[in-house]
Formats: sequence, C-alpha cells, structure tokens
Amino acid sequence: MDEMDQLRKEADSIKDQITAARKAGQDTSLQEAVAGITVVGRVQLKTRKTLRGHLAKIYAMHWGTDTTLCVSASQDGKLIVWDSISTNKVNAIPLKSSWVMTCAYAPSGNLVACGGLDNMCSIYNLKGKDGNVKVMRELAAHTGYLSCCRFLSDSEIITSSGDCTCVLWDIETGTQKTVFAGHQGDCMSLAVSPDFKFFISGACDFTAKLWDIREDACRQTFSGHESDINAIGFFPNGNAVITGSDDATCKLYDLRADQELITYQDSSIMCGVTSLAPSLSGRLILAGHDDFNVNIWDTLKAERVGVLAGHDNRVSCIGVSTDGMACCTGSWDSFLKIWN
Amino acid sequence: MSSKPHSANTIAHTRRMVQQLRIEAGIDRIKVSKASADLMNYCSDHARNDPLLMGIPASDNPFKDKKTCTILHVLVLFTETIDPSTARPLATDETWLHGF
Repeated sequence: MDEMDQLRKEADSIKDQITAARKAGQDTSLQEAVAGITVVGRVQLKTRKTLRGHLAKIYAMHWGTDTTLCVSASQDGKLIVWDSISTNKVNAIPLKSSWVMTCAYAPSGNLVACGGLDNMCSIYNLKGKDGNVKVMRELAAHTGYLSCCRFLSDSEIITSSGDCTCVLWDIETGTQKTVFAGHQGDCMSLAVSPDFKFFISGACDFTAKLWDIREDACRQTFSGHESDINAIGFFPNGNAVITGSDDATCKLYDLRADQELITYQDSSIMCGVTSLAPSLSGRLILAGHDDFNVNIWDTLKAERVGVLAGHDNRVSCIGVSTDGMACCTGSWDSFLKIWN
Repeated sequence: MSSKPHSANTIAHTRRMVQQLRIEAGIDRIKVSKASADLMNYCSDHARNDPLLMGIPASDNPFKDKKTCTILHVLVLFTETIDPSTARPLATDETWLHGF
C-alpha cells in the first residue's frame, strides 16, 4: 500500500472514531429533552422603520454595539451609517469598489469596514479629526472575494474569503497576523464568540469550523448540511453555533457535545437561507431567505413561530441589536427595515 | 486505487488533513442531555429580558412612531375661529375628532 492509500485509510478510521464518539454522547436528543416545554406563542413583529437611501441591492448590514446606529453596504457603491430611530443617515461613505459583499461596525463605534469582489477589506475611520470619513487601511492579501469581516477591536479584524481562508489582521500595520486554512470551499460567513476567543466560519464545503484565534488552530468541524453554508452565528452563551444553508435549513451544533442537536426545516421552505440572527435570549432564530421572507424559529422546539414578510426581493442580511430591542433586515429591494 | 503517482503536495496536504482529524478526534465531549439542559436553562433565565420574545409595550418602544397625536393637535388649532361679536373662540367643532 503506498503512502497515499495509507493516509486515506487512516483518515477514514479517524472519521469513524469521531462519529462513534459523537454517537456515544447521544444519551438523548434535544427534541426529547424539550418535550416538556411549550412552543413559544406566535411572534408577530411589525415594520417600525424603513431606511431608504440605497439605490441598488443591499448585501450586508451590521448593528453597532450598544447603540441604535447600524451600517449597511450596497452595490450602489455606498456604505451608509444610519440612526435607526430617526432614520437619518449619519454617514454616507462612497466606496472605491461598488462590488461590496460585507460590512462591519467596530465595537468601539470608531471604525467601519467593508469588502467584496475587490478581494480587500477597507477600514474607514468615522471619527477623523476634520470630520471627513476616510479610508484608514486597505487590507489586501486575499486571493478571493471578501465574504465577511468582523472587528475584534480597533486594532484587529477577522475576514473570510472566497479563497477558502479566514485571516486575522493587524489593522495598524495592515498585515496578516494569522491565516486560518482548512476549508475546502469558499468561506462565506464568520462570527466571533461572545468572549472574543474563538470564531466560527461557514463555507461552500458544507461545513462549519470553530477556530481558536490565539492558538491559530481549527478545534472542531461540523458537517451535515447538504449545500453551501451562507450564514453563521453564535448562540448567545457561546456554547452553540447556528448555521444557515442553501439547502433551505438551519442547524444548531453544540460546541461542547461536538455535534448537531437539531435541524430547522419545513417542507414548505424551499429557498436557501441567506442570513440569520438569534434573539437576545437565544430562544428565537430569525433566518432570512431567498424567497423574500424571514422565518422565525423557536430554537428549542424547532417549530416555525413567525414570518416577516415585507421585502420585495431577497432578504440578504439580518441583525438583532445588542439590547435585543429590534431586528434589522436588508434586502435586494434596496431597503432596510427595522422590526419589533 | 489510483495508479497515478501522487505529487509531494497532495501527500503533504493529506498528511495535514490526517493530523487535523487527530486533533478534532481527541477533544472531550459532554453528553447531549447536559448540552440540551444548559441551552434550555439559558433560554429560560434570559427569556424575560428578550424584547422580541416578550413583546415591547408601546410606551417603552423607541422605534414606535408617536406622530398621530401631533397631527391631531395641529388640526385642533386650525379649527378654532373667533366669534366677531364676542371676540371669543367659537366652540371647537369636535365631532370630527370623535371620528378618530
């Protein structure tokens, strides 16, 4: 047997070990464990605000931390920072490249970032001395599109890319601190853990991976989806991961049990999931779909408890504010809506 | 079994993949019952502070529009007219207000 065959045999054997270890942990299922609790009542949210101003498809939005400000990115080539209560545009930032796919708000509120088909992550300083918003850094090294980015602080940001890697950057020097390689397909989405020690990535290889930021290591890999994972998020306590896929389902994976606990699916839902966000307590999962709707799930009972219908095109992004008071959806119809 | 000779790159890549699998196989795992219980407890502990789950009373909702009162107030001002003989405001016709 040549070395390649030996390695493949070993890989299969280890995969079997992992499957067996996971099975050994299945002393029950989440479904059985929650049998005694009631499904949450029907959730009916209303559109409270419509943020109008973008002239083309909105691809991404991100709430600021502990604020009612949020940033959105559209292929009209603009990044807009909105005051979601007054609906005023606090900043309207023209971009060098209009092919933007992601945006992020720094926890400090000082910076925003965006990127897309230009393969770069551009950092903008909102609090510059002269009041003008300027590009502070252009983080270039990815060899594929920028699908997602999230700030750890004003000096560090993590990006995911179509080149199958995620990268931790030093914003000050504009250099790569760590390259997280391992996915076998385009990385589509990432989310940082509440304690900022880990991040998770979802990719077109149908898997989600948990990465230790400081140890530069992939700790766990989760499979099960039958198509690209487009959206990913942490359950609020950081112990579980929620994924949304082109296979029209969402899944909940527990990190400490190292396995999938439940799938959120319905035969009537046939369109891919584009985005997702948990509510403050984690009891609800809001998932945006290609069919212009947002489905609201009872996280524990895996039943659909609400629908947000109001957009005239694909819901491309969704986010729940840090105080849990509102949900924001962004769509290819060029509008953002605030619901609660 | 492929008879094509494998490049050094492919073998190195597969070695890395096997090494990664070893790391992932070696972690400690808790039982699904414990994982489920912890999720349920977190949800119930935080449910009452979850505005989207519990609903938000109109008075506490900063996103809810409060414009209607202002419009009514302005319309009331415009309907007051002065009686030339008494120089006093005529009784405001409130019947249309009751319609709201």
